[in-house]
Amino acid sequence: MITAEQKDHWYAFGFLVLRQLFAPEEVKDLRQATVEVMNRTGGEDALTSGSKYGMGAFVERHPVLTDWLVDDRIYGIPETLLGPDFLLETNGGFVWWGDTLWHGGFSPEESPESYYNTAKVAMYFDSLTRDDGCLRVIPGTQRRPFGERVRPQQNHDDRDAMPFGVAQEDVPCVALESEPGDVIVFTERVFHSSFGGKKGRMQIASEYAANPTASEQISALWEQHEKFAFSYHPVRSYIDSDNPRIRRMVSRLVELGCTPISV
Amino acid sequence: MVTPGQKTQFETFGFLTIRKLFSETEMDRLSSQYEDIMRDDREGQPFKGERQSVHPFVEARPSLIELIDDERIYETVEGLLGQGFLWVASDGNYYVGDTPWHADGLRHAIDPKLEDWHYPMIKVAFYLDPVAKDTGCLRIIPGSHKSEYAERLKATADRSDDPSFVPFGVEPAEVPAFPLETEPGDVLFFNQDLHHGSFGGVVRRMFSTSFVTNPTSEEHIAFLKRAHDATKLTLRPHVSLVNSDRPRIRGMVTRLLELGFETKGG
Repeated sequence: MITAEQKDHWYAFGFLVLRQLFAPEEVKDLRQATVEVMNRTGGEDALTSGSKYGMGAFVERHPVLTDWLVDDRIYGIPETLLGPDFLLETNGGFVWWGDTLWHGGFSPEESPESYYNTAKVAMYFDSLTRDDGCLRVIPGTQRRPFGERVRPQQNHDDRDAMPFGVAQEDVPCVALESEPGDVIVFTERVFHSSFGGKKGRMQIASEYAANPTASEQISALWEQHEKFAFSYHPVRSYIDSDNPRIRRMVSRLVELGCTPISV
Repeated sequence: MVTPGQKTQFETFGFLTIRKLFSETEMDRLSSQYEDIMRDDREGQPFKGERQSVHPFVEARPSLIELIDDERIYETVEGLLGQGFLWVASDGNYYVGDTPWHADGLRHAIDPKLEDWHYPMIKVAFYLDPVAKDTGCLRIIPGSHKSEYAERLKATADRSDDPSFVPFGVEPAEVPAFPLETEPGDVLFFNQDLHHGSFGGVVRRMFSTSFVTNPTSEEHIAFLKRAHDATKLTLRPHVSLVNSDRPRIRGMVTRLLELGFETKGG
């Protein structure tokens, strides 16, 4: 479970790396389940051909992955960091490679009143280092004003942009190198990127939000709901799950009138 | 000399590394002078592997004072701190072992009633040997020179070398930080309010000089006076600087004398 010191780390830096949370046999089962879902959803060539793959509402499609979601080691993360009434925003399975340029922070339209805490829990199935695709973060940028000072670095299109006088891959950051079995927790608001990812780099991730209570927060959630096909759209099988943790994670979305989807 | 991108990098992240600013020949000469000064401090005794620190340092050799007036240093500092920047201090060090996390910047001299204090003090560091992440290079927490972020990082501000100290639940060497790996000839310019430390090093040779922005407010002047009174060597210009025939060197210390700070040496 997340300790008080780890919570301090999260508050200060915007991420956590939980080493070897899952044993090799468990990682093997999770990997197999992930590949099975990929094969059923158009990703059968992703690991071999070098194509990219991404699918939302992913863990709902396999019982091993659903078990992962409600496992104490995963469930306890948002429960501690975001509160016991956290929401399941979305989740996904991905095969990605190459560079992901720096992004994160706050959009210009976002006000302090509309802000609510979020967390993403990611597992990679390969050993990853700084120069072959591990996640890189600029610690501390999940909060204002540092996050706003770094905003010039956010440029999804221009690989050669150098607002701070250095190339994208030389921006001061921390590389979250990992081994299979490690779990990486970060908020999408912390500036993050990756460089040099090799073909076939596979990942599962679940994303969570603190329960929004203010009207501005609910409006902000609703904007995301309208903008994205999977964010804040509870899967019908989860609404009716016989697992109380699953039902609880999505019940507030139902309450807010979010549109369910089927997989 | 300082590009807009470099200035933005320094203001945002608190540091700037300029690679290969000095040639191998120049670094050999600087290393030789460094060894002379450190040996003089040991009264000719050989180095025995213990930490050694010499203050003041560059003032001991005219050629090192010239280094500060070199456009590669002077104009970079001027680009980062503005015209009229002031001398603070210099030191030479044999670092041995880890340096615990801390922030310099004379934080204790800051008036706690002031919000969002911003009065840049910069250290210019020359490492005389290659240093990397696990061999004792300086590690910094980017952006931690600014007060809001620094507030979150209080655990890493005070140079704790208690073996049971586990800031944020990790060993000190695992605190998220960016390593400023350098080769001889590279020069580091960093805001002294940055939280920094070093780990894994055995013996490292380094010398540095510090400068501060020209004070423009009563609060700045009050800070300098408190910093002066709280220390024994800082903000006390050496007579070699006061009497320098180089106008830019004299210019760095004239205001200190006007503020009533005494000279050293002579």
